[in-house]
Amino acid sequence: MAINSGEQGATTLRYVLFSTPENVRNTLTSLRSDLNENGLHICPGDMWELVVAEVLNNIVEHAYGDSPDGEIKLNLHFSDLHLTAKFIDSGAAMPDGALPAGNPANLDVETQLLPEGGFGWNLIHSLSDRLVYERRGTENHLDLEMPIQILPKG
Amino acid sequence: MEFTIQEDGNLSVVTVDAERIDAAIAISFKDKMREQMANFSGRMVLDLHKVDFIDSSGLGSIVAAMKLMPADGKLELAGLTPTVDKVFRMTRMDSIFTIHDSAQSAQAQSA
Repeated sequence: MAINSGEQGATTLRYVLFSTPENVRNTLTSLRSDLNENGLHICPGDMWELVVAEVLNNIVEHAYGDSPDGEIKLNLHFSDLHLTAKFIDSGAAMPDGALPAGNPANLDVETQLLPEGGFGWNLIHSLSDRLVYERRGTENHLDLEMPIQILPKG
Repeated sequence: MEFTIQEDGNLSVVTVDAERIDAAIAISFKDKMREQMANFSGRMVLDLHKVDFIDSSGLGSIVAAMKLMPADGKLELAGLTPTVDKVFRMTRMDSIFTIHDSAQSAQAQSA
């Protein structure tokens, strides 16, 4: 589900999805084509999709604990230089009511001990300018802002 | 998700025929790699030039695959597209893997 706000030089897209990795994938794939339809061409190599994916995966995996029927609301506002994203879910609160610190994984270990996860929050923190988490009643609200690179028109 | 496998002496190039390695596919990716690596020896180059998106679950599945490689085998990577390359650099996983520009340059190195 996507709605274009029609605001000059900017695009707002809204999605509602249920909490499975397949729905995350399908939403991101739709998002790419919705952006193209709105004439917004983001530079190859831009990391916006990774940040959105990591937050959504975290909601699926941790807030909803891999239960497939949790609702996730995603609002994205793309302007010339920034993506502003809002994520709302009704899953479990963040541990200790705060965002994970997202420390870099320790790679100074032998091969068999290398981490296979725990990269997500470090990537989200590194790529975001602003990241605010709030528990409101039974909902988690996450707001983030990150720079994006739009291809010049024409 | 499919793999295309090209074997040449002790070098095996495994091309991932998928645009995304993400949380939806990470487990089946790891299982497919496990099949490829059973009793493998020599160099296996995972060619990622068709993959234009990887998330941390996908990255984790490549690390998991590397750990499954038998002792006389080695897993290397080739053909990282810009976003995939950034994920490896940001997580410093580029320091763990041998990474080639392309499968061709990986093959040239063994010649």
